[in-house]
Amino acid sequence: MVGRNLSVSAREQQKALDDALVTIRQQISLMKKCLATKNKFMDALKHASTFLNELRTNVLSPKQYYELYIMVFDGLEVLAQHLKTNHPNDHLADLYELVQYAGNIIPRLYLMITVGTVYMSIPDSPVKEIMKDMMEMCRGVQHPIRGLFLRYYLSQRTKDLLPTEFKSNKDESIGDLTDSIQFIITNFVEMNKLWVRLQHQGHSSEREKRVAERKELQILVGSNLVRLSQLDNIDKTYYKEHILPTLLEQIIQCRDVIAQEYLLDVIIQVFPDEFHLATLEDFFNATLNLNDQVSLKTILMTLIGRLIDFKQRESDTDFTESFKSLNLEDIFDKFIDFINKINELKPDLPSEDFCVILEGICKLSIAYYPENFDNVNCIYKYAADKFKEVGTGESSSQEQWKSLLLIPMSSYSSIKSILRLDSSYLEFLGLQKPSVRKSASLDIIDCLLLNEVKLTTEEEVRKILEILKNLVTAEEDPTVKDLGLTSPSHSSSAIFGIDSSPDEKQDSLEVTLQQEKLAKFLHLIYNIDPYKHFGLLAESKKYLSLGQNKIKYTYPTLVFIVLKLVRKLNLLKKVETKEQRVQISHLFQFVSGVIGEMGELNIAPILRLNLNLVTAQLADEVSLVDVAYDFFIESFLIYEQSLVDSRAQYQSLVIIINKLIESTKMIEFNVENFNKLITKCTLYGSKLLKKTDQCRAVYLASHLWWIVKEIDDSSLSHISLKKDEKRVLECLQKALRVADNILDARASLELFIEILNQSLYYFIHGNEMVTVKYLNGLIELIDSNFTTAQKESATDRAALETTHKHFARTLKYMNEQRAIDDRFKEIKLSIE
Amino acid sequence: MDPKICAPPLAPPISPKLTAVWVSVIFLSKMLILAIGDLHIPERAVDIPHKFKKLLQPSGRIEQVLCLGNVTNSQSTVEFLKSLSLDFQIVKGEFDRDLNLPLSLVFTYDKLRVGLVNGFQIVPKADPLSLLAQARLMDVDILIYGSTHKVEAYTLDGRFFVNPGSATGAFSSSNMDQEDLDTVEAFIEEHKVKDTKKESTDAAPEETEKKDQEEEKEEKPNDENTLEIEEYMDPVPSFCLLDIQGSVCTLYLYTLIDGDVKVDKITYRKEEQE
Repeated sequence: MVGRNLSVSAREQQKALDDALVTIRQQISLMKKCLATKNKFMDALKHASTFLNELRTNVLSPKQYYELYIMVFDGLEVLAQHLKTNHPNDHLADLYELVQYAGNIIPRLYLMITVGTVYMSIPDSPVKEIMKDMMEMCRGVQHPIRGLFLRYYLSQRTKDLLPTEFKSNKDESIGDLTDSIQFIITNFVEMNKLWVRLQHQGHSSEREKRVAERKELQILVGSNLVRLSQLDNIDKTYYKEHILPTLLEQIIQCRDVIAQEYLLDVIIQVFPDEFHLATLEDFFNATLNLNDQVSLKTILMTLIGRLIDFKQRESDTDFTESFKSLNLEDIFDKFIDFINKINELKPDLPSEDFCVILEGICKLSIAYYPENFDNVNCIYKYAADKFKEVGTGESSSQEQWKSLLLIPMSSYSSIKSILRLDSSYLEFLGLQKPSVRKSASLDIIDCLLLNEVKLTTEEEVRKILEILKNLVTAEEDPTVKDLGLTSPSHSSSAIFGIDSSPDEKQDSLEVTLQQEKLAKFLHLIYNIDPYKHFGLLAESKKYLSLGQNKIKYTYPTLVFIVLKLVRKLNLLKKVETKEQRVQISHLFQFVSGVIGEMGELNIAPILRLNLNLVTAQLADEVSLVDVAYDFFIESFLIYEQSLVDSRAQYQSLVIIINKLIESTKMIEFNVENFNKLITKCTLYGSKLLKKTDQCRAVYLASHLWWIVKEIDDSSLSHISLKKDEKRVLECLQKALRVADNILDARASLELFIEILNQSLYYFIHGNEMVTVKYLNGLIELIDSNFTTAQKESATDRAALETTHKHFARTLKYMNEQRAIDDRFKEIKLSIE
Repeated sequence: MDPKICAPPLAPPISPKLTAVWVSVIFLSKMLILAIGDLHIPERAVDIPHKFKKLLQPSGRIEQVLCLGNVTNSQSTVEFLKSLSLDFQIVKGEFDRDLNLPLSLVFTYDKLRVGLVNGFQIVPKADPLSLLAQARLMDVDILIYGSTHKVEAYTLDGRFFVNPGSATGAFSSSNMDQEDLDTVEAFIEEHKVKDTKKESTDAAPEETEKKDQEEEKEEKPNDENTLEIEEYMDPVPSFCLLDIQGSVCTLYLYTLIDGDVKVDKITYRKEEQE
């Protein structure tokens, strides 16, 4: 039979389907005609029998058979309607007998069900007997597809006719809800048997095809469970005692993977949540007896998902009452019992699946008992135990372990809840591979940053840093290292272009990104009280220091946060009394220590220099001018000892000059110190390696002796904090000498023009030693040097032209200034 | 100012009423130049404000990104800026570790020359005369500079000076402006007043309970004589967009004030040379 099926091609199948549909359509229309004519009823039945014969086919796929079924169903519906309106009660009993004489079993049973169900709809008919009889007769068809559709027809036809009430004084012939339940369950069991049997028919090479066919048919079997769930008047006790056990028994006994997975899923989906909560143990026990190939994980996750949804709906106010009435006992313990049983009975369960189940239970516990952290601790304990037993496992499961680690972040309404877990979490985290740990830690930071979770107590800071510790140390994954997979982000030739000492190794891009994130995390540490805030930062430093030379990524952030605290304290007027000044000096000591630690490791000298400078700025801002002096000195020492690159030296010097200019409090309160610093700074400038750098550093240093401060924005009045006209001029002269000594005429000229521009600055500002005469001299010098340079064949004409344009622009500017400043009119401009 | 006139060229951050105008601007507008800098991530800020990021989200309309530096310690931020345009240019800031980065760059757009410097090398820092000298040196009509974390734009002696400020509103180690100091001062003062009011409330029990509760929140920090003043201390986050056509530059200054993006428009026209 099915063997023949094998040889049927798709085209032949289609043809068979088309032919059958044509026949059915014709026969239905003939049947309708007969029904409309008097005394042609028997002919009508004959036509019905003829189109029902088409359902006897073997060659169609389930989908095609379903097409026939639909059309046949419509035809029989016409017949049923006719019977209902035209046939008196006693006649139906006779007719029920009569149709049983139809020649073939398929037409016979379809007709019998059609007549039988019309008969059932008549008041006082022997409903129970008819139900029993039809059920018995259906056993006659054992071909899987035909049988399934026949029984599906039985189910559809009886849908609204089954008794729905429990009756104490039973009338044997009419029956009650118990009989309906029995009827549906029996039909379910029989259909399931047919469905499972389909798997074992035909050639083994067609296994895949049969699996596909069975999936197409599954809904027919499942429809019985839907029918059961639609019966009102069933409570959870009845379900637990009379319905679920039979269903589970059948599901377990069939030993079929597809059936077990599908039917358990349907049970979870169709019955109410309360029923599931009442029968968790029964359900669990059943799952432990399933075929080993059944995915326990999938079934459980469906159940857990459903229960979590249920709980979450509870927030709707009208739902709360019905939820309370359930009188829920602790379902978590039941899940734990189940986990224990899994460990005992299913030791081969893949660790990945085990992990998924734990994750589900974890979510469930958080949904049902958000305050009970012991539950979650317990889950991590189980996870750790399992992990110790199976080891890190294959890489596919690593994502799963990580996912379990992140549950507290995603499930709790308050992200900080993760801080309330005990050491089990840390133990479990510690067992993971470094890559998993890191990745989880980064996700935790992301989550904290996204939600702007502020960490305000020492305990919180400590706990979270315990978790993030692995990032701090940034230990390399040993496997990666062994395989030589780490590649530095910059080629080694670039090392000297970067702020680093020559023996400093460059970190991979991955490490820099991790450290960046860790540094961002530090911004989440906060307390409204500046000194408490500082305490938290000091605490976090203890952890960060474990990072060895990675501290260059995180310490600068600490420094800036502390400096901001300094400003805050000052704004809050908390740097007024002597005690307060002593207290705030702890912050500077801390910064000094932080930078010093980096110094001991001899890393990032330019960074350290800059950090010292900004700290000096803040110290000056709060009038701790001696502290500011110390930090300047510290930066000078780094300048002297650690800066090797001439570009770094020049740039750092410019930065130092600007920071000194801004140190207005030191000028005010300790000008001796200030003078020491600016003298030293100018000296550094004159010692730079490249003459161009030397020249520029010196003319820029002139500003150290000419510091003005705007009084307010509206008026353009200034007050001079530092006004040493002579030293300014000395600097300019010195710069000129350096520029003059440069052999390259163009470079020398360029610097002359720059010095001219600097001189203009002082001229405008009213430095009386920068006179008209001085400027005229300078312009003349530049003019004559241009003339000389143009004669020399060695000079680059194009470059010289560029430089000359710079000169022309400067002169043009001076010319324009004549409009607002008469003194400019005295200057002889060579463009005239 | 008429909102239609100052319609900024990026997607609308505010009123939906203006949508039609915005959309037309988006279609009509030429390609734009983004000037952004002094981000100081992660040392002084966690990230570019979300609202800025959303505005800047790769729209394909930013022709060039001009970055004023102090960004390279955050690889993720550099990646973000690079994603905004195929043409990413950066000058070195004092906290950028790579000494190979240029200190200044010059670009020519139509009839305008635009210079880019971080500003740490301008002595005295951000001094208009020094900036002017720098602009003469670079021969630029527009000088974009940073390092002060203060957004501003002005014309001086025929040249246009633009400081896009800090895109993250990063803490600046330089002294705060008197104006900003006054704001903080006023805020602290206001809370002191509230504190005394609270005391009087205690004396007058007929005050509604609700008001009491409201003040309780604010009162707490005052007990320890400390306040949350961070948001008044930090500079306003900002960046700029430039639209250059011919010898005209339209500058859009984007600032984030009290959580809202504000846009100001300034037009600079180069005086034609005889």
